[in-house]
Amino acid sequence: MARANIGRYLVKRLLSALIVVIGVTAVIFVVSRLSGDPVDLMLGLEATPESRAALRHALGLDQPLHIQYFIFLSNAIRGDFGVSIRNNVPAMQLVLERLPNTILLTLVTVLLAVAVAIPIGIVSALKHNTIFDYLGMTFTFVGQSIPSFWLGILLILFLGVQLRLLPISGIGTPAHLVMPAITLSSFLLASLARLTRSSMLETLNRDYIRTAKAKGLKYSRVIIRHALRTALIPVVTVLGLQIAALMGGAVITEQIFAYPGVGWLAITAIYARDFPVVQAVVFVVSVIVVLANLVVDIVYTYLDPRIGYE
Amino acid sequence: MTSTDSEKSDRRSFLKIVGGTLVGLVVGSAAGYYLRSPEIREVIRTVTQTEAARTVTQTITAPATTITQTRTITQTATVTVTQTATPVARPRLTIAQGVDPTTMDPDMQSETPTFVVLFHIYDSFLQVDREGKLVPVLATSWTYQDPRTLDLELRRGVKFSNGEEFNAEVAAFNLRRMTTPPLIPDAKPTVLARDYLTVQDVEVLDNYRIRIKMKQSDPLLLRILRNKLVIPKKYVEENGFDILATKPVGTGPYTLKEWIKGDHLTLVKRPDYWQGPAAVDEVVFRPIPEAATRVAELRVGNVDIITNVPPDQAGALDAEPNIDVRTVPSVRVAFVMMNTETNEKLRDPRVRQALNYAVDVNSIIQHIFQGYAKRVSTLCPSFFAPYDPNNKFYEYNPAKAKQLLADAGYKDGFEIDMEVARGRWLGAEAAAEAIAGMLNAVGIKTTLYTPEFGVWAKGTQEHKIRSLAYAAWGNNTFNVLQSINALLHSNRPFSWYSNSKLDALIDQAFDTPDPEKHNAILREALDLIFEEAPYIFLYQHVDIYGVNSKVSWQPRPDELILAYEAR
Repeated sequence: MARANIGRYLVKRLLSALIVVIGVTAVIFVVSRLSGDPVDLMLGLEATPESRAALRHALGLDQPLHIQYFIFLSNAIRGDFGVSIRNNVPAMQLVLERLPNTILLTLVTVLLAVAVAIPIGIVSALKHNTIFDYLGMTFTFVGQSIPSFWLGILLILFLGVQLRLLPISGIGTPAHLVMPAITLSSFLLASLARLTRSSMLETLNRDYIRTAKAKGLKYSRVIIRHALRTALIPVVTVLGLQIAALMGGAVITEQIFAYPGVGWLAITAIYARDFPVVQAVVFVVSVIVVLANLVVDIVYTYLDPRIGYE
Repeated sequence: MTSTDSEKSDRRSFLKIVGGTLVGLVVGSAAGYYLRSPEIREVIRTVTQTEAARTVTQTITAPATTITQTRTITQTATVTVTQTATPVARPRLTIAQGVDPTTMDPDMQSETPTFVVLFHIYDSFLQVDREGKLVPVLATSWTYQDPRTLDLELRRGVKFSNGEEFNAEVAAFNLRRMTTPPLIPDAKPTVLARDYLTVQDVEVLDNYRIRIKMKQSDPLLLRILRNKLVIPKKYVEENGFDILATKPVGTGPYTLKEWIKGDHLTLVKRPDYWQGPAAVDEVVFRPIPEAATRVAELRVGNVDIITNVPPDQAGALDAEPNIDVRTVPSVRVAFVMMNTETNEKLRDPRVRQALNYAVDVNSIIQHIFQGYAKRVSTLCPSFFAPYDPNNKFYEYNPAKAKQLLADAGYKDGFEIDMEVARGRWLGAEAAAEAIAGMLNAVGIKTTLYTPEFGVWAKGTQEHKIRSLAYAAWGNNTFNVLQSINALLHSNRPFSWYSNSKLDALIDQAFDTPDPEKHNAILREALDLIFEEAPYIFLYQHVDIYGVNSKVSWQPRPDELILAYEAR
């Protein structure tokens, strides 16, 4: 019974996800074309209308917008997202070359944030209004307020240039991930810690926690099995939404550390009005965001048995 | 009870799936990350070894000293290495630019950082030296039969890296790709075709001579040919033009070893290069968009040359013992354009001169560019042919500006819109803000707009700019005719100014290839431009490079970094 429910739920969710992805690509398709033209940027400011028209025709940009979108959609269904205007290679290939880098960085960032934030949140809640709480909250306050470009450059100067502990930019070794992951996780880490703390505080005052304690359960079991499980529901929600923000927020971090990920590719493509690459990036990122949200919804049902697959 | 159990086990199995997927993703991407190519691992190993060597030095010297002293000793050690090093080939030169090259097809791009890479793989027909004089490369001599017929004599015995021979057929094929429409069947129009609009046809005279026929006289064409990087004919005919984007074959001193987009591009030298093999064995290009990161990589010694050092960091960088800051005045000139088409106030030369008197250019150079900019009289950089060392400038004189405005009937000033494209030119936004403030001071109430460059470029293509627009113009032809024609000839799409006398002088310069007469006409045109003041004249940029002081290399005004010139 439950299994059938899950299957139906998944199909429903995936169908609506498909609609979301198509909708997003349609919006991006139109919006990106409103604000500029790759031909203007490639040919330079002094190009004559004739040379612009010739290149625009060769790139298929002289067709009406709805025809261009129809061509894009029908090719995209077959997995062909067009050829990058600037790089003259398939757009999806450019995205897929960089996607593993971005996923790796995002996952390391999330793991780092969770591994640090949840203990801080728990300790701050349990030691409410003590020096531990104040220290933890000051730490997260700083983490939330520091702009990532500033933190990134400080890390480079301190760990990279002064101490020469870590490689400064690029990819290649696990060490290359450390500074970008710290930079990228600072905001997420801080918000998760604060959220865990407040959510734990609320849960710890609930009746069932008192009951659990009264039953004589072990303290650690009360905290981890009973309190934390409930307290994590809002944390998981935020985490799911933040994965989307991380894919976008990585733009600045990737540029600071010259880390070849999707964010940096996206910003370059947007500035150059390289439409096929912009579309391919948006498609891939929106698929990831939709899937991340789906995973979050499924994780809920584990955390709270009252939530069902509807 | 049973139903709860089954739900529970379902939840568990789901969690397992979710967890498994996450772990799979981590492992998968990590594996992909490390197993992508054997070359990458090789590079990493070398870097690690260098790192280890440095650490060893530091460990040896550390116990006796404090940290600061350790650094000094390390530096002394490095200097000793320089002194004892024999002038053998440098194994590797690493160059960090702001962006990755876009493509390896030289005719399908027009960006300096891409040209920088491609000039290692390909050769051009001609090159200019640091004084802007033409020097032969694949073309050994050039003769105008008449103003519309240009003959090129080609170099013999040059081979592409795949063994294909360079000859007149190849040269003609290259130029036929550039015409509009291309004279090669099925060839797409190229991005650089905009520079070859005057080319009508190319004839092969014999195995090493070609004749270029032009629709109209074009003395700039020879200068354009220095940007024509020569592609192989047979290779393209067999594989299609698109193969050049990723698998380039040229006659240049280097060949492409690998290109991990967004991370690095490695070139290796050709032992059989026709000018003799390069001194540097391997050249690595790395895209590092953030200037502070480029500076940091240079300071720790991971890269040897970095481009676009921010002026405010140049002083501190130059003070480092192992780093030089090397500069060169650039071919890029900044100015404020005036839209005389839509703003009738700007049609009065007195108003345009008043705007020039109102702006304290030297103060902008000193405070925004930290001295790393060079004032120009009009639009002509210092090393271009008709440059006059005794140039006049509009001095900073707000009183005179106000007087001229009053004479023109604007005693109380007026309101004006000004724009500057964001993120395109060094210091542009700050300079434009300063200029707006200076105009306000003489009673011209200026509102500044800062559109993103792509948005601004789209506007200019529709022939729309605000009354004033800050911009900078790079001119790689080393002939000011290219600039003044594009910017001030009334029939050009990027001109918002009209003066029949100036139009006539520009047309005359185009019809006069003879260098002496040509330059005399340009001199006259520049004098007229100074008097007419169609722009607020500002400065030419100075390109700032950070260089490992052990590297023997000097920057060029055309922004090319040629490893072949480095030791």
